[in-house]
Amino acid sequence: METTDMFPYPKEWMSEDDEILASSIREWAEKEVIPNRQEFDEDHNNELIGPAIRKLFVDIGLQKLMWPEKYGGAGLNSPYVSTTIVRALEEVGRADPGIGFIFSGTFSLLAPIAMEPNINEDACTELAPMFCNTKDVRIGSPILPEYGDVDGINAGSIYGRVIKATAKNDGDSVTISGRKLRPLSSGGAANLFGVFCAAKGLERDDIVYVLVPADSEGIRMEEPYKKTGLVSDRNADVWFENVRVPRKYAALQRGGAECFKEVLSWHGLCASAVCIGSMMDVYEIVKEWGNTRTISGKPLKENSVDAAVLAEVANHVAVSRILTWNVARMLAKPDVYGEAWSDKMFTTARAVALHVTSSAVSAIGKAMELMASQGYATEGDVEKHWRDVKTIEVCTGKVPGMMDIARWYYDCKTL
Amino acid sequence: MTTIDDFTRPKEFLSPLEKYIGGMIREWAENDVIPYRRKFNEDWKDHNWVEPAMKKLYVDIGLQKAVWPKEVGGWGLGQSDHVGTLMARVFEEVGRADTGIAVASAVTFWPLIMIALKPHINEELCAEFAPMFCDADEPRFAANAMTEPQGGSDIENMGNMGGKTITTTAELDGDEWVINGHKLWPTNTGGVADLFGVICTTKQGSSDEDDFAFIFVPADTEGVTQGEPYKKAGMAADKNSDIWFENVRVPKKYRAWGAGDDAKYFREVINWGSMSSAAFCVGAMMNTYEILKEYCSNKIFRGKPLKENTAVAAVLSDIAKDIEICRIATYQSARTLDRPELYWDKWSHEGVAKSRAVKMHVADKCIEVTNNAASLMGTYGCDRDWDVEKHWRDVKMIQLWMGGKQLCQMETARWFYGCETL
Repeated sequence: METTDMFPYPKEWMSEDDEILASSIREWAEKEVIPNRQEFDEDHNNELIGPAIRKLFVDIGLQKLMWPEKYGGAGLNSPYVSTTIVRALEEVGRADPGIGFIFSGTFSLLAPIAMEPNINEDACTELAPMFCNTKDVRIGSPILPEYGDVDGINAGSIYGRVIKATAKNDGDSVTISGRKLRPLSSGGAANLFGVFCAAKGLERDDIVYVLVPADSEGIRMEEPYKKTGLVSDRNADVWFENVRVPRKYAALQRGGAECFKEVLSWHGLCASAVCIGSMMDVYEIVKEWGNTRTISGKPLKENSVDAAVLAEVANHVAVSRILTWNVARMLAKPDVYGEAWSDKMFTTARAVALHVTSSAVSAIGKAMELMASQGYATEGDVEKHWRDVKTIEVCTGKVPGMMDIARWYYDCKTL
Repeated sequence: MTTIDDFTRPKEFLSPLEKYIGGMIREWAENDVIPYRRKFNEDWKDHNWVEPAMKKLYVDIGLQKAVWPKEVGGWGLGQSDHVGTLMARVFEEVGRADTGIAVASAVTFWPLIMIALKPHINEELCAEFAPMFCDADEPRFAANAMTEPQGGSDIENMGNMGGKTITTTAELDGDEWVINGHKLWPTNTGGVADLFGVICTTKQGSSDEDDFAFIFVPADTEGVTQGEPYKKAGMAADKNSDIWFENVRVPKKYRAWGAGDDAKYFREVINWGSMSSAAFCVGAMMNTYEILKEYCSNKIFRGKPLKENTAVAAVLSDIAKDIEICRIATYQSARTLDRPELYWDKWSHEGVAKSRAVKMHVADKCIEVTNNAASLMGTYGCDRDWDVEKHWRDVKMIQLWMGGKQLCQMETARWFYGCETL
């Protein structure tokens, strides 16, 4: 039985097209990624990762997926896209969580302007061709509020996080400034940033979400910093020095907090799906190890102490998958469960993302325990997943996430 | 201001030398390792950044002489009543800087336990091998060649398997041992080690401890071949590869002690390995504490420094609590090696079970501490510039080695619960 069928997910929420897309991605993974991924850490010139991303984003067409059809996109810009995205990202995450994380950022960044029912026609008209009328890879990079610095610029705040960037009214333009901002992903490779800014002199006087093309004058992207995992995702700190963009790139018709919650709800779903793919790949590897390794005169999996650890790995995958698919369904049915930006839906998506990402770290750590040195060696194909999912988990923002959950469930007034 | 030195340890157990030696290693860590350790990851194969630091520690400070008897040019710590707690401090300080260098150091010391620690000092072998380490201007490394491709943790599981699955054989041919076999993953391989302690059997398939043999093999002996180092998740300062022994001939006297005693003193090697592993972890945790303290004092969440948020303070408290407990437990474990007359023989099953229990607890806590620290730090937790993620990657290997966590659990259960089939 295929691993994807072994771990339960509600098939009645899937369409035939979703499975066709997942099959294409499986084929891409087997040919373009899995044979090369052990070399990704040292792919400094992007010779292996770059072509693989190009095939997925351009040839298979993931970068067009959620733009409306009339702007050249695939038109999967209704909340029903959630199950398509989960199934697709499971397959991408199985091959390389880093590429999955790049797409997670690109997809969720666009939700406030391209997702029904809040399609920003002006912004889509201007920005969709960048992604849809090209043979080159296009990547989005969300810049969310984060921890501030004691001696740094703290222009505003949202749910305890500090907003370091400002957006100033400048006639038909908005001027963005911000120093040493750390995006969630892809800061060193982005074509489009989605930045949360403290608004100055705009209609909205609190927080505003602005889309900023990376080739705008005044943007400086640093060299990608080295990190634990997700090497395919070239993240870097970004500086905005009086960067002017048209007013229509600012989501002025919507509240900043609403956009923030929408981006994070979708990003949480994507991150969870990537982690499930990663866990399923590790499950396959550790299963093979348990079948072929002999300990105390019998297959490893037949020793009860090892079987208990294998059970924990499978438990994490099974429960995480059910949870993630349910969040996908909830996002697909805002009439039943609330909009992606509602406090309730945001809280549920955050809770599941925190649970699934930390489950992935735990499950893969357990698999490594059983595989000992082979789990730790790059050639065993497990340690990369372990580093990758840990990087996703830390980027998910555990402490602020816990405050988000407590705020809604316990009616906290100051969190 | 509170520092890492405020974490508690039983002061009456400490060696008179520990402040002096610990201070030297602290200075070495600050000057020669911590500023450069972020480069170690890319340096895993060549060790261009690692080797100068190793040379200072091994040759200039002289750690490679530490356990050899004074009569053969060493420091004589193998004859000291404080070698356990002194080594705990040494490995804690080295581990604070880099657990990869710590394991390379401890594993150099590891095979020497068989012949250079009282009460079982093999004067003939000390005289034979000490000059390699004590009369050298270059770092010298040793390694225990234990794990085998199919044997896995069964090799280290002497209590249950009794060496039954060891496939590396030693046959006596006149005055020489002839060794054949394939070892996988020992620390300090891939061309690093100068001397191996090879775990082998004189009768393949036997679980009689008399057939277990520990034989020293200089790395340049004809028939010894080492592979390329493995690329791995962390621990870049420690190289691991395959070793093949093909009709390797060494003098008969290179067997550490002989039938029965090799297996007996090998249990002491396991005991020391567990204590040392715990000490590396304590060092890594203390450095994580230092980094986290700085980070949480300077980052703002909800309008105040991170550490002033109660949710964050609760995690910080757990981290400090775990370091406090793990440090005390590690020094207590080290003390049992220094006072066998008060506790148990260093090579007893009781000693192995109890040191395995401490190692298992401390390694698990170390993973938890570094994992939670990285999670607290958000995107900076996975940023290599902050070093916490390096500790997290490195210490996972400490949990996995020497047979892994499950073997620790079985050895602990076997002694404490009288299990007979584990």
